[in-house]
Amino acid sequence: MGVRRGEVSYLAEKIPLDNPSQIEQTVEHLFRQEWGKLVAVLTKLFGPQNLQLAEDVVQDTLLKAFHTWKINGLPQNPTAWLFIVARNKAIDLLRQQKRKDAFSKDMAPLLQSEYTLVPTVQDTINTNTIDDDQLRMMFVCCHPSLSTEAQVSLILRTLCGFSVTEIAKAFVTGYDTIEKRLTRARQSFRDNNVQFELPPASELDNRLDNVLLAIYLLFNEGYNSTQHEDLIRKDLMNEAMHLCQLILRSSFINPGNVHALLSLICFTTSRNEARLDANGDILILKKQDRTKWKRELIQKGIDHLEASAEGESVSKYQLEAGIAYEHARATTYEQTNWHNILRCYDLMCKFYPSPVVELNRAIVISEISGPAEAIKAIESIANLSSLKKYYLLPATLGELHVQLNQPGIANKYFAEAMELTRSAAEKKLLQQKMNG
Amino acid sequence: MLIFEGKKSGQQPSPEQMQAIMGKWMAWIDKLAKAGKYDSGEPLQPTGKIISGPNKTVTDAAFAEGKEIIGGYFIVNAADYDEAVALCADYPDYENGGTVIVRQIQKMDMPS
Repeated sequence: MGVRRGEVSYLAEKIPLDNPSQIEQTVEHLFRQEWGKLVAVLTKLFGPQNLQLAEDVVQDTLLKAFHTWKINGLPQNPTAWLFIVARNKAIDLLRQQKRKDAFSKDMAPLLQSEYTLVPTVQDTINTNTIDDDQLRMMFVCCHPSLSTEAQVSLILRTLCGFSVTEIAKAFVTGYDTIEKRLTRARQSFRDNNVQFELPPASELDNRLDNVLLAIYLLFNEGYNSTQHEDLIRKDLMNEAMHLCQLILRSSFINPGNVHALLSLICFTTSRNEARLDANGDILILKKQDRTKWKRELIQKGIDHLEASAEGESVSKYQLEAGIAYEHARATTYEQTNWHNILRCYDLMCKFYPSPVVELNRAIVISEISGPAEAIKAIESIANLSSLKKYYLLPATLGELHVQLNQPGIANKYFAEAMELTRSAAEKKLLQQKMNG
Repeated sequence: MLIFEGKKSGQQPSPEQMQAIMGKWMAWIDKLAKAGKYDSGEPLQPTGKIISGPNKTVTDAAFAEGKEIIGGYFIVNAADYDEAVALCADYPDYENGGTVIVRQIQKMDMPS
């Protein structure tokens, strides 16, 4: 089985390469992206109840590619190569499996006969419907029967090609925790008879909220990795961007909220290169070299923010993107339009209230009216006790007391904040503040 | 001839790990080719047959976990063993339990 030699041409012979890293760039994230495509089409063929089987076939396919390509070079069309191999593996598997009804119900009769087996598989496992298949996969992963954590883990596994170890690392949990979470999620597909399809139109918007929340959490973990030694996980941020773009290519989906979320991601990602100094230490917004902000990402953020406008209502992602936009367009820290930002926070507090939003609003108040007013605002936060474990609460209070010239009280708060964060970079920043 | 021997490991690599290792292999081949040292190479399937004994008994080669398995080979141009060994410095799989065996191809000099 497999691909005939004639179909393969050799990259090393065809493209002159100036340095090794160029080869690596040619195929950057190729395996991860192809993983996402292949899992989606194979899940379509086998049904979500056989997700594990689909993943196994993809793993086998990629391993075969890996062993062949590392010595023979990349074929001219790696995706096509992989799809042929995966298709042949799927056909072998279906021939061995006597009970075809264990697979997709619609296709069972077609898979029963040799007359229709191969054409059906060829029809299913092809590259023409990849976008649509991956979109369906995303909605399957965000099935309401699953917890949000399970949804995010499943998206990372099936669409973004993270290994269990990599997901465990992203959430700083053990391998076993993630493995169990994924196993339970796959079992839930069987128990709930989940189909490989988009939800009905009446439910689509609600389910899209689940999908966007999962992407938002993924992005947030990348932006400010609470759990990880590296403060910024660019790979997670890129995956979040990639998933938004995938949804936007669909004509079924109401794009407003997706544009807003993608806009927020673009603005925030544009600052990545400026957020850490040469030693990998955090630079706060005030100290960042704004020339390092990526202009093209800021422009993309503006485009998506404009595209997100629909009707009268303002979404949470739009408001967050609006705040990020105000920062992005200020050429210096002093030029930041804090009044516009405060307006966004006021709307957030009104429509999407949360103690974290109010805490951030207090920081804006300190810029406009000074630290004393900000501390008053923090003290008046409803449900302040729910922020007890949130390191940014003492970190903010510490900062405000520094501004009030009360280093003793400030240091007490910084020490408290250090206890609460696990990020090495954050700890270092707090230590610096304590040292004045 | 460089023969690559490795162990089939229990834990499967993630897509990104495969990508990273593959990149190193391609860079290595590219470097050897640019230096005019690379002749050819092929990966080998992880399956095989073993034929042995006067009865020419055929058995399936069982590549169990942990057992050494030949994954592929290169033919390179090197003046001597020292140079051939030096060419193996960039072999990407030492950390993954891989081994390189360097053998010189025997020249069958016929007496004229």
